[in-house]
Amino acid sequence: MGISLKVKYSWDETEKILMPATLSEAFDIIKKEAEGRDKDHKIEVVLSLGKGDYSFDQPLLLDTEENEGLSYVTLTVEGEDGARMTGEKFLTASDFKPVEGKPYYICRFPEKDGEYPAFEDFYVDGVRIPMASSEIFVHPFTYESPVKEDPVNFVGLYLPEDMMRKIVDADAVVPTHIMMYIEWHFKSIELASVDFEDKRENDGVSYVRVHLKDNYMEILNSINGFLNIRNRECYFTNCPAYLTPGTFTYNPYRGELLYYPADTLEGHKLGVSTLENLITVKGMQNITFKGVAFSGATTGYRIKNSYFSGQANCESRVRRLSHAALITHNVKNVLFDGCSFSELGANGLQMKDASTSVTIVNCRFTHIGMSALSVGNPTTEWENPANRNIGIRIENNLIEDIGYTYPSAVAVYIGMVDGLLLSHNTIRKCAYSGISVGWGWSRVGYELGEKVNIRDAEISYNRIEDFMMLLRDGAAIYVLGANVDASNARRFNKMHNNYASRELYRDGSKRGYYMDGSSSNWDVYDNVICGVRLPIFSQFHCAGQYTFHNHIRNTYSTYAIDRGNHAPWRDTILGKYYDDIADEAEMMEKYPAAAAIRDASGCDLK
Amino acid sequence: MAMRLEKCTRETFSPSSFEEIKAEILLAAEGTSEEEITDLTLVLDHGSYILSSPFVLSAHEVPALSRIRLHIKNKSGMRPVITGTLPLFGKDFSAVPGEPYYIYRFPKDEEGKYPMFRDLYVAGEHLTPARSDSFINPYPLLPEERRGEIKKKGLYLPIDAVKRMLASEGAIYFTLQVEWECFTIRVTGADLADTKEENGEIYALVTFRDEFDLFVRAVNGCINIGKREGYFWGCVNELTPGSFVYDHEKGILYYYPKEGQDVAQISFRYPVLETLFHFEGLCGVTVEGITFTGTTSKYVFEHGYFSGQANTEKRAGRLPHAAICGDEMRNLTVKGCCFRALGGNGLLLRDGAVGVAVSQCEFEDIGMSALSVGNPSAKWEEKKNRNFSILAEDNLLSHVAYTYPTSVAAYFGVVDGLRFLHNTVRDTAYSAFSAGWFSIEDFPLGERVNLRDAEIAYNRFEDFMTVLRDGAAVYVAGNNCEAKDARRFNSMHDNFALRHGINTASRGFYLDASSSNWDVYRNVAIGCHYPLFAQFHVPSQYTWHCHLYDNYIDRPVDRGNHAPWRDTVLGATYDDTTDEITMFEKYPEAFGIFTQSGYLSYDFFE
Repeated sequence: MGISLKVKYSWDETEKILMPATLSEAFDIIKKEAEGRDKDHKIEVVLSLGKGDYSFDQPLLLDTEENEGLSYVTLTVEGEDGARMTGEKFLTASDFKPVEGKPYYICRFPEKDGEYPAFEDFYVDGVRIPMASSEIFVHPFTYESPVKEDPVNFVGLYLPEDMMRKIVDADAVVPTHIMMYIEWHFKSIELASVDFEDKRENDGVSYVRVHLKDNYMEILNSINGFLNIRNRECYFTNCPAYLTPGTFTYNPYRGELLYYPADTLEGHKLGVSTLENLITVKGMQNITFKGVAFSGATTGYRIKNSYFSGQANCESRVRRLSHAALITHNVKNVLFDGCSFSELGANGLQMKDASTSVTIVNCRFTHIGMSALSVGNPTTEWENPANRNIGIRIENNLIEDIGYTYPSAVAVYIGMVDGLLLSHNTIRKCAYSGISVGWGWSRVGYELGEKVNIRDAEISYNRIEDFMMLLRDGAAIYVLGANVDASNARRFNKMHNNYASRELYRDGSKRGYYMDGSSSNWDVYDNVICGVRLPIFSQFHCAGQYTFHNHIRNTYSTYAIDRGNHAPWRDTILGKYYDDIADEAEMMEKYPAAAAIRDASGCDLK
Repeated sequence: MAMRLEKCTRETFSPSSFEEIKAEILLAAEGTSEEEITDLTLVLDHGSYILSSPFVLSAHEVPALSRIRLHIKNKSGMRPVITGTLPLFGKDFSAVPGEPYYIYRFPKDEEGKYPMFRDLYVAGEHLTPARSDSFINPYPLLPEERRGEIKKKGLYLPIDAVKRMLASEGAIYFTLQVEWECFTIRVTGADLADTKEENGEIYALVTFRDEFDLFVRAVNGCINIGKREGYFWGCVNELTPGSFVYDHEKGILYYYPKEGQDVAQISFRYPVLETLFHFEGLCGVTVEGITFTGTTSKYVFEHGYFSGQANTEKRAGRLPHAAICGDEMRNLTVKGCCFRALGGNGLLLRDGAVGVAVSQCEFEDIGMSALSVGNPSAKWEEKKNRNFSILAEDNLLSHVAYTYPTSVAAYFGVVDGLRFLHNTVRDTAYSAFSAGWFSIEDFPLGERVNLRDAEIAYNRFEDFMTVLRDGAAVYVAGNNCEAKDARRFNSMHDNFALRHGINTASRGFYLDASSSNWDVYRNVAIGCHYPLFAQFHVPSQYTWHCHLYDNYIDRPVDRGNHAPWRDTVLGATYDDTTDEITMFEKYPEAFGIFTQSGYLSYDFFE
């Protein structure tokens, strides 16, 4: 294990090799070397990491606004096999004390500046273990907009009495949340109190009124819109009453972590992360990360503030949290090759603001609480250069087990983009959509190029399995927004040769290839979709969001394709499709072309 | 002759002048709420509409105009004419004793000035201005003169021409053509005693107005004025039958009648306007079935005229002198209009044009460019330089730019989305078509634009480059994205270009100034010194990612066009015939390209 830093100067033949002791020191050297650089005095820095873990207490930052010279630094960070950057702080068994009469242990964190650390990820042997949660139940009551005028309903929710009693009876104080899945939203709201005297009954089950903390009921009221919480899935999380082997809870107000070991406390590598990001890069160009692993980052927002998530993990108050292993802002000429993002509580790689000429290849994203990979802001304001993404290539990546903590987070999110290649990626097990591209729901009046939502996009040869495992109304591949004035009929975006499959269960809200919100100018062809009730959905339910200039052909599906997708008057054409075989294996046998699409899809990473 | 202004609500007004029309339009605009759009249709009956001042509608001055969609059209079957000329009757001319010409003395206006015009019309046709024979300026500019270290007294020009010029009355100007540039300067005198000898010829000093000092520095640094052609104009003694001279300083118009022509019977028209319609910041303007004629440009009289590439005056930029000048226009349709006998431009769109369609129009006898869209600037980052979605289809452009020969017949600046299809362009002083500007920097596709998504196809170009040098039937300039992007997103195909007689500096299909990402195929070029030219002379401007194939030419193709290391690939080229007859016999495909090329609306134009 070791760090070496090579610095080459554009105006000089010499190069400097340094051996900083820590990553923080290495970044300090880079910043120092960058000071005063300009277009005639550029430097090239190669930061090499030997095998081993590199942990740090503070996020590392390279920001051209603070240090303009960084604009003239070409940075390569390369790791030997096994080089890992992590924000994990390791604990020992001696940090935990047994809780009398309970099978779990408590670890008390010290107070600092009057506060305890905020986090929600606890690692055992490098793996994030689940927070203690209840079983899922269905919330039976309608939530209607006039409820605001009804002060009784306004102040709380009716939740199962038996579960609430179990939570209250637990001999521990932990801020328990009610987690609600509402179509493509989710809400994680801290409970305040329960009134066991105020009851409702439904189907023989008793429900008691639970008060939510602070003004959270008001927020819930204001953002629900046309969605409703009736018959939506809920559960309680971070509740000691539901501690089972291999789970934990955390009270950020008292700094107390309760851990119920799966077997023994000793003999395992225990750790938490209090860092919400490891590295942030702002405004730089010519950056390469090669063979580096990132792990051990968390988010402390929800556990203290609750979380009201809208589409694609946009929190209703703070929008997208900047919590990720690696965050970039306004970067250009960036390569991620062979990197690994794993065991992260928030996002993996989050590229905010503008990104230009970005290549992400041969990377692994696994077990990530929010999105694995997110490029761009969730906005329609292309006129602001900070929202433009140009020339994005994402190829041959393995993306697995994504978004289960923040289920509205799509596995791969791309905002507005001019020039996108999303090809040969494998996405497995994700809470919501596998891929989401674009933003905006209405038709647009701009000419091609004047503004952009999605232009010159190719989404091809991807393999997406077990997507939409928690939320509803999403898809294996979800594209959103009109892309040019309706008078322009060219189909400059392509979605082809993708294979998507999931078990058909729970409900019919899962979709395969989904063109939503006035999506336009797509050619969708040679795709396979298995186990989905709406295999193709070129928005034809919401009149204000009908699609246009989309041609869909040669789709192989195990479920019937709805003829509503065929609307020639909107130049939305459903061409040939093959939906006559309900069993995937039989379909593949009957249609070798479908099997060929399946076999050619996905990445070559194992 | 009558006008009718209709609102979409079927309210009808019958204004008697364009001033009244403007007042009604402004009234309608002010009466339209911010959420509304009002459609106004101005229907013009048969007849000539003589403007005493330009018809100006500016949304910058009156923001409410952005809420108006104005449609200006002819009454069905009628052919209204908009002109900026005033009549002048031959009977008011006086014979000059002993001379074959007649004169008319203009009275001074209220400000004590004579009218100023360079163009004169009879029966809707331009009259020929008198000028000397062309002669050669033998002496180049010295580096010290260019740098201003040596003050140049004037130019040494052939003494016979100078003597003849000195003997003439009139406000005399000298025009010098230098490759793709052209300079006009007011002559102030000559010194026959100050001479130089060159190859046995005597050259006398001609002196010029103050702008001469600027001229010396204005000539493009990579070209020089030595051995370049020039001529005097404004000399009364150069009058020939059918030609005229106007001395704007004395207000005297000279006309030499054709043989047998009775001057008293002639109805002259002289232009008082430089622009007929000037629109600024409007959206949704349609102009249909209108003829525009009778404008001039006065700038040269007060300043001389130093034109760089594509008629860019080196001090004033693109002058707004046009039948229709539109700044920052959006959704403009010009259909079935006739632009004839104009001293400036035909249709000139500056400072950003979005969604423009020009079709079935005839441009004939135009002093500057027939059709010009966009600024001569590569600065895409400035909004005023961006053009989107421009279509010019099925138009005839003929006899263009003989007054201002650097003007290309059809000019397009930097543009995203260009279609130039099925146009016929014939008899042009310089290039028939030009698109793009001198962008040589690398940029990712989408970050900026020079030319993107351009298609130049099925056009017929005849007798282009009759005056200047180093231009082409189709000239494109500038790189279109970073060199690593090999996509060919622009195409030039199925065009037919023919010149009668090979000019050593004329080219057929010319990819200049780092042009990139072009497919050039199935074109025919006959009579061009360089039928195909993908810049390979100037190292800093070499082309890349340009594929040229299946082109038919009558001269051996230069292998310099084949540079695979720059992905400039010369594919199959058929260059073994020397004239179109044999070419068509041997290659029916070439004949097919010929027959499919050019404008389609025969009925309209015939």
